[in-house]
Parts: sequence; structure tokens; C-alpha cells
Amino acid sequence: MTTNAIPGRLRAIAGAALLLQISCVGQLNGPGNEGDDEGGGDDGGGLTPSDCTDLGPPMLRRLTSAQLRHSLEAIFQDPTVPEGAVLVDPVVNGFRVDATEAVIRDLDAQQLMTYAELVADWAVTQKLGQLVTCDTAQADCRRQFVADLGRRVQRQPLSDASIEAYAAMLDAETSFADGAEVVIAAMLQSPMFLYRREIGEPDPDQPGQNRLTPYELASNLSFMLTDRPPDDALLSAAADGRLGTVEDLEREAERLLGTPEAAETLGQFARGWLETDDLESRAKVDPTNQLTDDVRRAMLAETDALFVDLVRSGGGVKDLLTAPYTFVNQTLASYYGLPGVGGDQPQRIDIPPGTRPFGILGHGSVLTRHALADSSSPVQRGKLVRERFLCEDIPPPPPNVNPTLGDPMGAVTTRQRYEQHAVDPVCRGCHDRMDPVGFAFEHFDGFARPRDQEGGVPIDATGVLRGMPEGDIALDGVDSLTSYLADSTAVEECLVRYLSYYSYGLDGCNQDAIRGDVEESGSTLKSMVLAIIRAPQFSRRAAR
Amino acid sequence: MPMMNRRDFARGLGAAAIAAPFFSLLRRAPAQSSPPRAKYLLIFFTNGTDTAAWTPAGSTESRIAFSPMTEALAPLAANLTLVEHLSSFGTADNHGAPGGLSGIGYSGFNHISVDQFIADGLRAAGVTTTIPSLVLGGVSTEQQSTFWREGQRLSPLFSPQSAYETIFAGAGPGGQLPPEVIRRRRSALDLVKGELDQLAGALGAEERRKLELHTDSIRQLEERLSGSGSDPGACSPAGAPAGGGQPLLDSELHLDLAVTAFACDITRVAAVEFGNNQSTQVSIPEIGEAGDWHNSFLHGDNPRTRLVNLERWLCERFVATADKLKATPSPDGDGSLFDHTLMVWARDMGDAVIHNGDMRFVFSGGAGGYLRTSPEGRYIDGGNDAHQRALVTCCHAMGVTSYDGFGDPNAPRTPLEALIA
Repeated sequence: MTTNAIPGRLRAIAGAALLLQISCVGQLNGPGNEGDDEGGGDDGGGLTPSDCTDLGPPMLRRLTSAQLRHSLEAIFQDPTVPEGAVLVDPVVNGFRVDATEAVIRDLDAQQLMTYAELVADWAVTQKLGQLVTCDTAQADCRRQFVADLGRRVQRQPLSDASIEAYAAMLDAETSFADGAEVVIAAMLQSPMFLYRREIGEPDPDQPGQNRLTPYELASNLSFMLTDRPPDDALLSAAADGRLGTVEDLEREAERLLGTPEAAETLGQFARGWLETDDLESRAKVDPTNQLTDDVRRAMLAETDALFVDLVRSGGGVKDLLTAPYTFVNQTLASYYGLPGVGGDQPQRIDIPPGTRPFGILGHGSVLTRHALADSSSPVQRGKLVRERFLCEDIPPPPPNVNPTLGDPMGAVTTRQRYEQHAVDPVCRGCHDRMDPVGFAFEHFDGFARPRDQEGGVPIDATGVLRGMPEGDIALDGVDSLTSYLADSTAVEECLVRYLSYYSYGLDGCNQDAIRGDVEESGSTLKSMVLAIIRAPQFSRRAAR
Repeated sequence: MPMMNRRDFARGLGAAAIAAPFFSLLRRAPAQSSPPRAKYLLIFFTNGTDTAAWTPAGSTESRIAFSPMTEALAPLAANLTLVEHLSSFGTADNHGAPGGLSGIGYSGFNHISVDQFIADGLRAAGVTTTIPSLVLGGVSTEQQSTFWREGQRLSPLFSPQSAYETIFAGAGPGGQLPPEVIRRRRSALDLVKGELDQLAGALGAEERRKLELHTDSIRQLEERLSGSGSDPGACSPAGAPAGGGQPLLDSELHLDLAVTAFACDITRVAAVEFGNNQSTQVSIPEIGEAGDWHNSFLHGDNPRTRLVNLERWLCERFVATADKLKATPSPDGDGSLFDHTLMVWARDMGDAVIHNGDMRFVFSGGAGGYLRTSPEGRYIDGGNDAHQRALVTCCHAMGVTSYDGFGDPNAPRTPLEALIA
């Protein structure tokens, strides 16, 4: 098991991990068992609190492979732009947005060159008539082509020198088409295309600080909320000086949040946060073959849809955990045994009492992904709650301990097998934080199907969430867990932390400020997104 | 998963610089006469295993008594050494640990995996190929590989098609590019380099490092363009493979690419990763019911029948690769590729069931006569010696005999004599 928490703590070193193992034992019922500060230790590896007044230095963020793809579709306004296997996105904390780990190295430049040439060839063959409408025999027309294309590729107007350089490259070829092809290929290999820039310009009112340029802000906002480059409206706002204030950014953010692309991006965040992104490829032993690919996709779509709905409708963490409605298509409704839903698209329905648990922790995506191939997994489900809702670290099992559960005499249910962890003192330290939380989910098997018994033995879904500020929280079923978590400020803080990481690509330095802002603005999911945008780290950098 | 960050990286550089004079005192005097050497290194890389099931109990230094898990390696016996009970000293006792190939645990700095270290050593010794090293395979949906450079994990080329294009198409020695294409590419790359320089001026040292990596990647590409048009020799890459997206089956295709890359002398160092860490889904009929290598095969099954089947399947891939190397002439016309290749099966950790750093390796290949052999295979009990010595043996076999900058300087950095002819 890995500790899939966020980098500040994650960059814990082996020594710190050892401390954590001890801490599992030592702090079971202790107060302040938050995990947040433990992993930082003295390794200097993470962002320590003293760093947290920093705005951070000017930086570059390499486009992710999805952002590269989306950018090409936007530049050429065509979804059929050729595919390419370029740019691998390091998976960090379940997300693919890490600002530090994503680089271009080794054979990447060659792959990018080959791909850029492929796209350039396609563009000149398929799109040249749309890319240029003037008389290409005229030098001004050719410069205009470079300037127009360059603005879309670089997400900002090209400098005069840059226009000259590309125009000279174009004019060195014997035909306009050849020249255009060379220019397109070069532009798509440009660092001005491949990296988002967060550099800024010195702010005369704030010595020592850079303020990001309007175009940089436009890119930040757009990639954060839609995973895509800024659209024409956003580029125009940047050009016209309408991105200068926090209110400007909020206005554009509100607009973008209403787009289908934002819905897709918010859903992607939810999948990373809940670690459900690989649900479609997880091996499942399903002799009845009910868990089809369509069901898996519909499960993911359900969670995406609830998250997006709550962001847009002003919902908060409490709603996320206790919403009495959900979004299912016919396939998933039938899988869940809910009547009266047709069609492929998720539809909002009220959850009939006694059928499914309310809220995101009852979703098929979560229950199926956090399970084994053929059974539920109290460990995985408990770990999900600890790491992804409470931002605690769970260290890997210590060396030389066999975590494989045996089949003790008389054990019939999953719970009975996992209860061995509570008997063995070596296991108990950490597993006491996970298993008794996971037991609360036992009314749902590894396929998210409800059950009252397992092997003829009635399900026991009692458990305990240890070490909370209020003490140990007794559990019985998913609803008891969600009703506690729904009112926990720790869950809200944890979600802010993940959202902040997703937005900045770095573990947040600014969470106190963001959390304060969130609280003042109503603690909704949308207020979290907007607080991240309002934070100085979004629009400022320390000057070099 | 704990990670190094930029500050650790910078600090590590500092520490290495300060400590360097001391380390050099520990260095062994070079051998009087140069030993026989391998020209190619192929690292076959997998997850840890169930060591009890792997151990070939009853084996001796002159005969392997194969366990069910290893017996599919038997056809290679005359060129096979199994080494086990080497200790990682805490650097490789969990899934995806960095120490398996680098000898350095999470708390260390400047991790470099043995393949990268050897590639650098070869380059420093004037052995230049158009690609310094290849890291192939892995699982695209998982964290990055267990291969490292300058403290950063490397991304393997996941897709066999993409790897094929990168290795063989266009800029490779097999490609005869028209001068016009080369001129255009150079002019585009010149422009890109100018923009990289300009951007670098606005950044601090840490962020500039990203652009340095990018610039270095372009420099490698330019070198390949310079080599374009050279004699393709005996090298004849087949068509692009059609990978199906199932990671282990794709890795099998990558093995073929590695062999062909050797045949074309495009690289001397290739690593193929089978699976990665904890989320490799396996759906191969002869292994059994589909499942998750980590959750199902290592930690779920009891007995671990599917793990044994999977390891046998991996053994078969290892043997099949040896057979391909045997069937492929060496680019210099001297025997087969197998005669000159050191094949090593390495792992991220030791016992993956109970999580420890009790490491084991499979050594094979003709390796230029470097390895000691026995007709019925050789088995060596490492007696808890440092597993780093097995990695250092790879360096030594490839003629890279200065180990400064590799592994843990406080653990022994000498080759395992028992392996050497």
C-alpha cells in the first residue's frame, strides 16, 4: 500500500515513514492525530510552514498530455487532429497535474518533433484554407498568418522579434504550404507552447513581487477550470485589460464553470481525489458479468455529475456526503435496482429510501474501486476515508510483516477475516485506523451491491472512527460515517487541500488563507474554487 | 509514495561534492588487465516476488535445482546464474522502492539507476550510440518507473508503437533523411533553443533546471540528426508492433524492440519494465483468472498459484528474449547478440508478500565471457551481502569500473567475484 497523500507530507523520507509507523501505534486515541505535520519531519522535503508566506518563484508548468491534445484541438478548431503518444504525465497523489515532476527530457524532444511534424503535415493538408484567407504572395499576409497562429499557439501575442523569426523561416521555403508546415512544426515544439508560464512582471506597487501578466492569468484560469487553453473571450479580456482585478477573475471563473469543459475537468478532479480514475481497467472477478464496462463508466459519470452539480448549485462538503439525490443512466439504475430511468445520459433522481446510501461515499465508483477483485476491502475503504477525506497519512506495512490474511477457522464473512488485524499487535496500530472505518461499508460488496448477509451470516456494519477531536466515533453503516464527516471541518480542510494541489500543481502553501476565505464565503465547493483563484499565489510570484 | 523534491536534489548535489574526495579513497584499484566485457545490457525488471516460492532449494554453485517458479528458465541453464539473499539494507523493502536499481533509499539523494549510470559511463568512455539508453514498458496509469536519474523518476516509453517510432523512425541510423528535412529540423530546433534560452533568463535555478533537461533532450536529438544517413548495417527493424494496451503484453513487445535496437547498435543499454508497483492489472489466460498483481497475486491469493504462473510466464519471456538475441548477429559481425549481452532480471524489492529487501537476481547472456558458467546453471547464496554489489557487477561487466556517484558509498561497491569468470 502506498501513502497516496499530498506532496508536502508525501515527500516524507523513509525515516519519517518509520516515525509514522510508530505514530500509528502511539497516537491511536491521541488528540491531534492529523498526520499533516508528521511526515514533514526534519527532512526539509516538503513545504514547511515557514515557507508559507512565500508567493513562490516564477515557474513553468509543462502542459499535460490532455492539455496538449486540447490545445491542438483549439488551435486548429478541429477534434480530428492526429493522435500522438507524447508527454507522459507523472501520477502524483492520484493526479496528473504535478508542476514539479512534469518535464521534457531524454527522448521527449524527439517524440515531440515527430508529432509536431505529423500535426503540421495534417494541418497544411486539411486546414490551410481556414488558417489563412489572405493573399499569401504578400509578405504582410504571411506575417499575419504567423501572428494569428502564434497567438493561438502561445496563448498570447507574439513579440515582433518572434514574428520576424517565424516569418523568416516561412520565407526560406519555396512554397507557402511548405513554409507554413515548417512554421507550424516549429511552433508546436516551442517552449512557449509546451509550458504554461507563471512568471509575471515586476509590480511597481509591491516591490519584490511580480504580478502575472493578463495572458498568464488567462491561461492559469482556463487550464485550471477547463483543462484547456483560454478561449477567445478570455484572450480578449486579457488584451483589453479586463483581467486586472480579483472581480475580473471571478467573473471569468463563473463563466467558465458553466461550460461542459469545466464539468469534465471538475469530474476529473473528483476521480483523482477519490482515486477512482482507473475503475474502468480494474480487474474484477465477476462470474455473472454484471459489472460491464458500461456500468463502470456510468458509475464514474454518476460521481462526476454529483460533484459538478454541487459546485454549480452552491453545495458544500455536507451535501457531497449526504445528497439524497444522484445521477444515473438506465444502465446504472438497473444495476442499482432503481426503477424508472431511461437513456444513456445520467439523470437526476431522488434516491428511494432504503435503496442506496446518500452521498458520494455510497457511489458505485467509490465502493467498487475501493475493493478487491472479488470482495470488499475494509482496509481500502478505511484508507480512503483517512487519506482522502481526513488528509491523514497511512504508512505502508512495516518490513517483514505478511499482510496476507489467512482463513481463520470459522471465518465466513470478509469482516471476520479482517478482524485478524485487530488481534495481531503488529497490524493493529495502523489497521485500527482503517479497518473499523471500512467495516461501516460492509453492507456493500466489492461490486457496490447491497447485501444483508455474507455466506449466510448477517452483515455487521458496526465500526469506529478513532482519534477524532470529539474522541472515537461509533459507526454503524455508511450513513453513520457520512453524517459525522459531513459536519467535520477536517473534511472541508482536506478537500481544500486537494483542490489547491490540483489547481497549483504544488502542495499548497496558502491553505490557511484559502480556508479563511472559504469560511467567509459560505463554505461551498464553489467558494473553494474561487478562493483558490482569489489567493495571491494565483496571480503573484516573488520577484527574482 | 514518498518522493524527493527539488531541495533534496540540490542538497544531495552539495553533499556529493563535499564527500567526493573521501569516496575516491575507497575506490578499488583498477584491474591490471582489462576483463572480458559485455557490450550490451538488457535489464528485465519486475515487481518483487514470493521468495519462498522462488528459491531453488537444493541448488549448488554448479547446479540449479529449479523451483516451480523458476523452472521455465531451465533452457538457459548453461548461461544462467541465480543469486539470492542479497540485502538491500532498507533501500528496497517496499513496492516501487527506489533502492532496487539505485542502491539508495527514500532518504538518500541523487538517485541514479544502474542502467543510467552505465549509459553515462559508456558515453564517458567514448562509446556513443544515438540513444544513450532506453527505458521501456511499465504501466501508464501508475506512478513513474523505478528508474532514476539525478534524483528524479524516469518515465518509460509505455506505448510499443511510440517506442518503435522513436527508436527506429526518422532520425535513426536506419533512416536516410533527405538533406532538406534535416535542414528544416535544425532550423526549427535552433529557434526553439533560442526561446528556451530566453525563458531561462526569467527563472530561478530550480525552474531553469527544467529547461536544461529540455535543452539536453534537444541536444540528443541533434546528435541523432547528425548521425542520420550512416550505414544501417545488418539492422532491419520489422514493422511497428501493434500493442494492445495490456501492460504486460506490451512489455513483451518492448523486449523485441530492445533486441532490435541492439542489433542496429542504436543503444547499448535497454531496460524493460514488467508491471509497476501496485496497480498492474493482469489478464493473461495461462496465468489464471484476471487480477491485480499486487492486491490479488501477492497479497490476495493463498496459495499464490497465480503469482507462480505469472513468474513462470515472465521466465518464458526472459528465455524467449535470450533466444532472439542468439538468433541475431552482432552488429560487428562477431557472433550473436547473445554472446555480447548481459541480461539481468532485477526487481524493485525483495519479498513482496511480506515486504522486505531480501533481493534476488537472474544473470544470463554470453556477456562477452564475463560470467562464470556451469552446464547445469549456477546458484549463489549471497549471505546477506549488499545487493548493491550485484548492481555494481553490471557496471563492471560493461567496463564501467569507477563507481563514484553510484549507490550508497557506505555499502560495498565492488562486483560479486562469484559471478565473474
